[in-house]
Amino acid sequence: MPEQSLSSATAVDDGDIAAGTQPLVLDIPPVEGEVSVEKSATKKLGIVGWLAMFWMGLVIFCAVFAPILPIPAPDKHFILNTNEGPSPSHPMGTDGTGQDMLSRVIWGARASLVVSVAAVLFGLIFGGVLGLIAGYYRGKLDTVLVNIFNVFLAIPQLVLALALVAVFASDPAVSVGKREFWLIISIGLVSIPIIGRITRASTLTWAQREFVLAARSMGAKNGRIMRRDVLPNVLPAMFSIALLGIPS
Amino acid sequence: MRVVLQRVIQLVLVLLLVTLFTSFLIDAVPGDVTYTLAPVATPQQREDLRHELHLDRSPFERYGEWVGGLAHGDLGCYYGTSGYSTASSCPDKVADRVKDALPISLMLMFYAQLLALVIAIPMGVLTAYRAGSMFDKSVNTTAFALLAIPNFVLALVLAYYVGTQLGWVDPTGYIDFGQDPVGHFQQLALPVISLAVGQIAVYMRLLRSDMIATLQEDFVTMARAKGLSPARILWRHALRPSSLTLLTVAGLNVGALIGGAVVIENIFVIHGMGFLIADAIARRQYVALQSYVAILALGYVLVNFFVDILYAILDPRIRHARAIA
Repeated sequence: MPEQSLSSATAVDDGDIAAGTQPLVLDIPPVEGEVSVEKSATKKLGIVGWLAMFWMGLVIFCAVFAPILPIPAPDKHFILNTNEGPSPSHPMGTDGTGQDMLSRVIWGARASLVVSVAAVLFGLIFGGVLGLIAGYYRGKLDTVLVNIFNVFLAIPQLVLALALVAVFASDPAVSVGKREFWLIISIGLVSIPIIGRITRASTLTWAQREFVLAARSMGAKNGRIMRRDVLPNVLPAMFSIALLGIPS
Repeated sequence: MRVVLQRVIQLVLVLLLVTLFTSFLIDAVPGDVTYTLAPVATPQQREDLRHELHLDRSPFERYGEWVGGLAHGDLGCYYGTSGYSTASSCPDKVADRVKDALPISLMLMFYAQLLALVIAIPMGVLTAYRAGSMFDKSVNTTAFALLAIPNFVLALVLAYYVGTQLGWVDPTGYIDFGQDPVGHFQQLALPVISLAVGQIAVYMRLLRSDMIATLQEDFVTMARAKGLSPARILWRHALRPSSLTLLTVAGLNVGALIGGAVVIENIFVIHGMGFLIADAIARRQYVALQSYVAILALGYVLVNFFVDILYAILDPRIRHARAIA
């Protein structure tokens, strides 16, 4: 189930996320209309959906294969044609110092994609685990974790990023890759409390459900209940906010 | 009573931790305020100034000084060339700036959240009820289109077309409500719309996906079997347990917006908290920055505390749960 909602959440329509939240698979025929509508909604992406998929594919393709695409280097200066409009040799024109805009956009997308996907993953893993633990165990542990979330929420992102990059990557000799790494860490640190709070909120209700009680009465350990019973139901909420975070 | 006391202790701890962290983080950033106060100074003069501003002391000592002031209700003082002034003779008090900026940020936050929620909640409920229909699809597509517009782009477009080209409102500045209520809303309309549009889409999507899950629950089937009208099921039975994620995210946004929206405030030249914080970071105004961060933390803790109470009100299953030891 979670894999299913994962793949569809990346697509435009998350119709079967709802289907994925059905925790107990009972053999009751679905209410007329509802579920069949859900299914048809996931099958058909629609024109807009396909356009969006195509565009995402194009952006990812360009970003991944930027080094071997037939475009000039992003930092190459065409000093004879600065500030030019679009032309066959420079499809997006050139900037004030004669750098090819298309190439700069593609290389920029490459950096953004790596940083955003990695940072959101980082936030999802740590925020998700901490939120799950806080919402499941409640009590003192919850109080401590929630207050730690509050601490990290309140530190201005600008200060955190500035300080981390200044401390670990201020040396000009430091490679771009390393600077990117610390950028990922600082953005990830910011997203941990956000995803953590959301995961905690849905865990609070899901952990009180009958099937959790049933699992516990069958002797399942807390870790197993969290992983097998609570997590699949909490995932949609986590993904719906985390995937929205990637573009920004 | 005990709960309140516990919360207050937690609040103080969070405040101290956040500000301590911030003071060390900002200390790690190279450069200090003497470069902006006295750009052309001999190293000796710079040293003297640093001594006067207490910048030559350790971060611990400076932090202690700031906490001491805060305990007396003193938010501190902006560094100036006249030296580090005590509260009585401070030419540029942090508290004065906060008094002007905080209400502006709070208002901006309140209007933006109100607008976003008023539009997003009915939309989310209706799209969940009619999931898969033409209505659902068109609203969703619109939501994704709105999501794809960064708020600063929308702000610039609005400022240019509505503000400059059409001339309906002045794209910059802020008017106090007491001064001119109509002008107040006119001035804030564009920034509020710019902030709210993206959030409408997020809120609507969150509510929709939670609501679709809730509508498949047994108690909804039960309500339907009793013959309740769809409107009553949607609004009275299904909305409350579906709104937890929405509430969490709205709480986070409220917290974030208390600290201001740096970019939007800069575009519309509104001097809210975001403007002050960005300015304090850029000019290395450590004392001021710590006070702003403390206010921000206070906001987060209070809002999240409030959200926690609301969880229990909205969903009885949370209210009756006990900790797993």
